[in-house]
Amino acid sequence: MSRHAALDRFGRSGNPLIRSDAFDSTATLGAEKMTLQGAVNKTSMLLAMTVLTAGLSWNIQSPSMGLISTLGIAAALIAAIATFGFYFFFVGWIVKPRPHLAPKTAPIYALGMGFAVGLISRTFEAQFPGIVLEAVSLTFFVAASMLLAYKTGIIKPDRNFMLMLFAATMGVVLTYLANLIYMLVTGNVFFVLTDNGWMGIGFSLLVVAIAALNLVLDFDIIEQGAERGAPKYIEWFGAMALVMTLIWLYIEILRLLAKLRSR
Amino acid sequence: MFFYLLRFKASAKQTNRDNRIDWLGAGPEVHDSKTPADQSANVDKPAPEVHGLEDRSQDQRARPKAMPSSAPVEASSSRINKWLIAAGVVLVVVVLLSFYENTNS
Repeated sequence: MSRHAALDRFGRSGNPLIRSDAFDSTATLGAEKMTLQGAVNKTSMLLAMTVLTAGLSWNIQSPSMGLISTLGIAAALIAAIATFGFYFFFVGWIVKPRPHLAPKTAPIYALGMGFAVGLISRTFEAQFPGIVLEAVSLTFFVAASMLLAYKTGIIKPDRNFMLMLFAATMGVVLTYLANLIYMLVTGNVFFVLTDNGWMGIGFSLLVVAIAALNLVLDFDIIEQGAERGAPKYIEWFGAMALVMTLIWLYIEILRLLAKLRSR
Repeated sequence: MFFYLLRFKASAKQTNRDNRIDWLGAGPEVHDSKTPADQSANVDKPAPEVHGLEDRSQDQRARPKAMPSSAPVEASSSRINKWLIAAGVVLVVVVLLSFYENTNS
């Protein structure tokens, strides 16, 4: 019996997101199995870590804090790449996904990204007082709505859903990458990313919708892992994926609210 | 509310369906040993640990058969991958340095 079933299946589909042995395992006999409660606990722990470092970078403003934040963000990026891998078009997996590293990398990611979240939140809060509380509340309302829709079976993710969402997410990533290169070369940013007119707000709404739909895939990984008795480390992996999407959703909601307020 | 909801199992409407995404690779239609993907996957598996002389000779005989068709491609692309990783690291460092400059100013 092939242990590389996920690779077989998604390898043929050409989807680079899952085209690896990332999810290739169910718990071996006697090994500890993943539970839904375990994944929930790990998600809460990771979110608490994110809030902790976000609070630090929000409150302490000094050059040394800037250096710590920069190092933290760099560590978070490395942790994310080490766990989820790095895929490059036409080349393949430059770094292969290693979900078994998640118990070590997930706390590093959560703590590191907390610094970025704190810095971004502080910048927005200085411009638009009260915006952070609104964004946090909206993020959890959206997440709870998506969770309800998933648990009750209103949204049923299948392979086509995943492929469409992957294409949309890659579109957003490429837009941000192109913007980064454009910014480094010209010093300006894409109009659509900062515009507070209907075009900019429409783009932000689209990105928020894509981020929210990504939550469904995270819920499905956790649910299926618990259902089929995946190894214990998938709890950390699922929690890390969920926290990653929640942070992305929060930042996008923050940007959307800022655009709406600046009109 | 979010964490409260997260504790509950999904409804049967969600879990009892044929077109679920097979994240863990335990689906019924995935054991096709003829595909190239499966051949390359077999090579990634570590050789079974054997202790007897007879078993070891069997293992050595089996190894050449497991050579994947994609092996030469992987060998040549490893050099490209190193360059891409180096380029990526430089890009990340540049971005982080500019971020650091911005936060300090």
